Amino acid sequence: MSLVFGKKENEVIKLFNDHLQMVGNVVDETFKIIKLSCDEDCSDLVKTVRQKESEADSIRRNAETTMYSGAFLAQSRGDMLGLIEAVDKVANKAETVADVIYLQSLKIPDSLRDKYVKEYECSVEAFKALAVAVQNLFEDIDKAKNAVLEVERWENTGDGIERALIKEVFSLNIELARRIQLRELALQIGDIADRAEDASDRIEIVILKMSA
Amino acid sequence: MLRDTLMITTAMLLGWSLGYNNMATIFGPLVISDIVKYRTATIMGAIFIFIGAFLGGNSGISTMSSITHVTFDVSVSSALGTAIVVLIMTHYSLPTSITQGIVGALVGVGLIEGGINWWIVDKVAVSWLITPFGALAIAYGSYFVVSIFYNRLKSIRLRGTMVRLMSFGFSIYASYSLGANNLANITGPFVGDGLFGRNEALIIGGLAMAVGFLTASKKVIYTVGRDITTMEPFDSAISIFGEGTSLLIFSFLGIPISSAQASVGSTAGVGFVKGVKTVSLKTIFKIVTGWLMTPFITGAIAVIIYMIMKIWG
Repeated sequence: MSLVFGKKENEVIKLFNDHLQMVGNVVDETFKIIKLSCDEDCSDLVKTVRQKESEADSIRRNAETTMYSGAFLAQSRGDMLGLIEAVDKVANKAETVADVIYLQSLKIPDSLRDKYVKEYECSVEAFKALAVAVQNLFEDIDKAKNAVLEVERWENTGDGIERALIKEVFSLNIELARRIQLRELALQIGDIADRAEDASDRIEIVILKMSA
Repeated sequence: MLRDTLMITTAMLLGWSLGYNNMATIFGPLVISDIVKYRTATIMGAIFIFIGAFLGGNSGISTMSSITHVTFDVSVSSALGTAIVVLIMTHYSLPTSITQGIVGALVGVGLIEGGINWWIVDKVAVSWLITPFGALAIAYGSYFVVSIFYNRLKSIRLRGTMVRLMSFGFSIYASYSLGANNLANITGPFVGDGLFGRNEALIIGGLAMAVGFLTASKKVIYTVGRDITTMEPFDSAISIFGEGTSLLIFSFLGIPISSAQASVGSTAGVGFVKGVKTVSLKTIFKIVTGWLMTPFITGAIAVIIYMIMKIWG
């Protein structure tokens, strides 16, 4: 509670940045699992993903507590809370992708690996654009708005790859159960970009509400 | 001694009621937004309403003490009648205005005494009609001007700071303006004919309103403030600025106006800019009821009190 944008706000912004960093780590670690060849053991990587996701949760909770101890105008806190929770859902989804592969011992056929990697790359880029949007939200709303558009662009590109991939999965001569597993993986990877887009929508709302 | 006690008590009651009822509309958004604490708000408000009353309240006194020839009986019956009506109507959440109440009471008693200055009454009545529209125009214009500078700020940090400073500054400004404009309602009728001196009137009225601010309940601030803060913080700050400016302009003209009606006009002005309906038909009905009902009721009650005082001698 202060007349100027003060210490508590800066503290929350720092936690927002730390949280973004940690969510980025979760996304990157999961990417390593996608890129792995089918026979390699990825249990250590999955463990790292879970650990980073849990650390991201902890930073988020810390940010929320600091926020409600008097940072920002009371009316803005709900929006900020919504934003950090939306960003956190990106990490949750990346963890789900890791689980889909690890828990079901899902082997990605070599012929499809590059396409899964490409789809995942779109989700990574969507998240990177989201991070730029969040980082600029407090300093330069024009840059934040441009980054929001970038998130949308990557999400759309990812959607196209996802549809093509699912079509290709069902044209393969493999068991139906495996086809369904592979379709599930494509959908979950696409959801990472979807969640990044949901979070970027929140940024637009914050900007709109802080405009006259 | 009894005369002085009665005059001071009546003025204090009116002033307290005015401060108590207005605290929430001016400082509610500030407290709800967590920009200042409730106690800080009441203290800041009390200081500035007193300063406003003391420095700017003089001009309205002449208006209120010239509506009719004021004597002890006329002043006490008018002020007491208004205080009773306002307290009862506030208790039952009915729309009321001390400004309109006290003028109605003075006119009512003046009709019995037979010495009303109709030119002043007309001037005051026209000002009441103008108030919501004036406040609307001020808020509308201010919104445009301030939003140009606000939207040029590309940083949410700076926008947040600007909104905080605006909300704080405008709330203090509105407290000052309320004190300057409404002081005359509290002690104006007591000035003249050997009753209160000008300085006494300014100090007693200012203190009474300040006590009203200091004792304003936290619950009311949160309830009223929450209604106002359905608007964004920038919008509510401009709305308070519109209300404060209307009060200040009319205080320069020496005409007390209703702060509630200035607030409604101001809120509507902000709504117009954004194309949002901020004032309902119910609110407009309340204003009109306030215009029509309050002066007549206080006039009637003041006449009854005046007659009783005459009979008792």
